[in-house]
Amino acid sequence: MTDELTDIIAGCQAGDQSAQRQLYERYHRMVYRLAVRLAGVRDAADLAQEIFLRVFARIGSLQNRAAFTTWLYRVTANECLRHQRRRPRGCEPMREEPISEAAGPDRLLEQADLLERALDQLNASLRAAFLLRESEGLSYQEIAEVLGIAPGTVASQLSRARAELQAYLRRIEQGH
Amino acid sequence: MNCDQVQRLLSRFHDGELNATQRAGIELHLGNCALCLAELSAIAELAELVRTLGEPEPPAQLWEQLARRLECKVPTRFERMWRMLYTWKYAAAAALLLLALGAAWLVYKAAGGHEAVSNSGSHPEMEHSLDGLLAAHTGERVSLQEAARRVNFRVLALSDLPEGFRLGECCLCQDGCCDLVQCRLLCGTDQVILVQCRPDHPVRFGDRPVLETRVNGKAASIVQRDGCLICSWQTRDTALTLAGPRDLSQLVRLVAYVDQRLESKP
Repeated sequence: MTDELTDIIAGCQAGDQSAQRQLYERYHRMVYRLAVRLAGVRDAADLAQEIFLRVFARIGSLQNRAAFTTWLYRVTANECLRHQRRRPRGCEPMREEPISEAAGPDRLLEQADLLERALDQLNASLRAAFLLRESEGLSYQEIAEVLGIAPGTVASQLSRARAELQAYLRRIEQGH
Repeated sequence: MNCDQVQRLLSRFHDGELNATQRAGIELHLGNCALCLAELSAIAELAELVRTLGEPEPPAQLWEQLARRLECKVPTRFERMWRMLYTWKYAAAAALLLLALGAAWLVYKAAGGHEAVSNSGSHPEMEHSLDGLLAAHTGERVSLQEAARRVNFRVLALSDLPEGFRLGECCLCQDGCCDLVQCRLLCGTDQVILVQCRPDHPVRFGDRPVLETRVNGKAASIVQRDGCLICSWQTRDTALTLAGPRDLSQLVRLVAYVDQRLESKP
């Protein structure tokens, strides 16, 4: 952890709004990205606000500043999963404008659309583990700390998530 | 290694989470098996596909909206204290430290030394009093199965309680960003509370345990409060606090019951 980040966290702990702004600037893309991918785009902005309010309200009790990023991921994942329990994501798109069948020849966008649909089929905890790994690049140990599960459970959840996603994508390719 | 063994480990292999021996075994197998190689390619393709999702763009006004909400928010006592410390830094910190030491000494003397067991935990957010815990049930009352379904840690089923005990109500409580599953176990007129939460967020009582002990090799602390014994320890998947037994034999019996079942395979 850099000295600069340590200073920003200390500033946030003192309620300094310029430090809060700096922390926001560093992490808002990560928080928003996870909110979109775990809870859907419709509620992502509200969720991101709630997450930062929670972070600023509780950062005073954060003793281990070096573990800030893991803690932020944990607050974000918990808030998104809690939101999911209250309001299941269903087939809500990750983007504002879902890509239609007639979106054109852009294969990448079609693939992204397919993956979004496949992710919708996963249960919330499998989706969280998969995205923390593949989208955020966290290690098994870090995912375990974020989700409050054992690293062995992370391994089995990732294996299951991948198998379910592949099965879904295969079914789509075969036209079922 | 055969195909079954390899395919069970392919996801971890892809993520670089295997040891050198396992890795070498899989690499050897992949050199001769097109089927397993195709499975590995499918995992890699999935990772590639995630990269096509692109980066969602946060709304431009997000900070302005957040800043307005932050300005409206009345700072908590804790935040005010931090603000003061941050402003006055070392002088204030030293004064506060002296005050805290003095207060701690007074409390210790007033409570008669070792009888005083204050309520503090490793997480300030997780502080509870036993009375509060026993009477709490401030969360949502749900079945144990429902609670287990809604939390992201392993919850003990409590299906075959020790003789004489029966399961009372269960509550899903939230503490900070973590869920707690709080169950009441009844035995005649006695009651015991079992709190289960994620292992990195344990509920603990007392900064001076009466007894530091071990439960099947794991560190555990026992404190006495309001005539009840409280034991806190954690298994691989769950942090546990058992509060309420009146004597050590009942405590040992219940702790052994809980620990044995949680350490067995789910």
